[in-house]
Amino acid sequence: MSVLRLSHGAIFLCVFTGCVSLDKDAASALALAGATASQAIGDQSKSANETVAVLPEWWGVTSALNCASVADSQMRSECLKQATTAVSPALQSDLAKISDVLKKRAAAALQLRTAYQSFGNLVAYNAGEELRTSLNLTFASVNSLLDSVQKLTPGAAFPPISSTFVTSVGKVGGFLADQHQKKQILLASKDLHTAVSSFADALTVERNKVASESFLAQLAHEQGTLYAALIRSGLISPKDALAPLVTTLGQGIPLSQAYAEKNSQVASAAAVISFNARTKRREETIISTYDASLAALRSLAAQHQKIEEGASVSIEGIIKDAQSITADLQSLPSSK
Amino acid sequence: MTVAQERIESIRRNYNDAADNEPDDLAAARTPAQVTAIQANLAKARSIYFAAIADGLTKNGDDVEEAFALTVIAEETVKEARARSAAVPDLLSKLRAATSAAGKLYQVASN
Repeated sequence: MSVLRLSHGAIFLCVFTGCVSLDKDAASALALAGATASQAIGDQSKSANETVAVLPEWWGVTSALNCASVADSQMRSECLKQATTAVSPALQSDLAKISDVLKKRAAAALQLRTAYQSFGNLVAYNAGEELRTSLNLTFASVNSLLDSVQKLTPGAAFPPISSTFVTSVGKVGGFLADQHQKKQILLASKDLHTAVSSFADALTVERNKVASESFLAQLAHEQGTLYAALIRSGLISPKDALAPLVTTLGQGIPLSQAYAEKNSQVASAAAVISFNARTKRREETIISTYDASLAALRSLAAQHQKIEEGASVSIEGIIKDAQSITADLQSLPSSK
Repeated sequence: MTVAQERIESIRRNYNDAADNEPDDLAAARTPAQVTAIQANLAKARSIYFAAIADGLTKNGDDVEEAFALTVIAEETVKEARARSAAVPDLLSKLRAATSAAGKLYQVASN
């Protein structure tokens, strides 16, 4: 009897509201990929923003260390007077603008990460309420980012996005409950699809992309300039600065401390050359991680489309992009 | 027509040239005024770069193209002066000209 009743319910549901064909395993996999990718993008923006806050300190220290090049002591004193962490009001204002965009980008990405985690929980144990809250916060964060990008980009249109996800349902069981859950997953997938697409659009707009790539590369350069000044000054041992290069030779033979001490000028020059070359490579790599972020978001959007069509998904590319962003983060300047 | 990336990178090269060469330029300075001028040029080049990043430099026009062409010429002039180890007053005038050209590019290409 109960089977018959369920079948009637199922038929009723399918006839009047349509049966949902959805691969829950695919949705679970997409939840993991989405959380991994958005975490990586959020961490990158957060780390870059933290570095913006310490740039004036880096500049002041570099400037002071560079004064060591001035041989005359009176002139050196003049030089040191200009070495300061103070920046002009105009520069301060520009750094604040850059920081604001990075903060909004990080907030949107990390909120998206939470929404993907809730999406995974919806698939695992029907956590509809949790997801509704996460999606609302995600849409608010993405809208805040879209708003700031729109203000920076005359003529561009970034209309605000809104959630269509609903959780309301009466008490149902068995097939009906499964259908209800699948419908919720589908609705949530559509919302996440909207959110990642808008996020990717905001990151793709030329003004945002070009400035962001240059800026991320410049952070690596600023780090390199400070490090070179520290090596030249002798505050960082040239031997230690050359150690990563020697490690790449793979022979396991340590550098001579005695030589570095006796020939500090030569060792220091060699260390600065090596470090500058590494910095240049880092600058090139860091630009590709911005493209990896965009690729990950675009792939997520494409996989949502597949979920909505009842097809299986492919998340390998998304995970790979997220891993490349995360790997790069380990060498990003850290303000901590 | 140039794109925002070329403009920003041109301004960035001017800033990094001033920053990367600051130790050598300071070592070559012979007067306190030269020391101050080298530091002031670096500070100005830095401000222009971060202003360009905050703006994006997407505005187009003949004046933008002209300003960009002048930054390229100024950059070459600095390179040439460095290559022949020009005396500090000569180098300083070229550094100032390059930073002024970068500033002009920012001014006309900013929104």
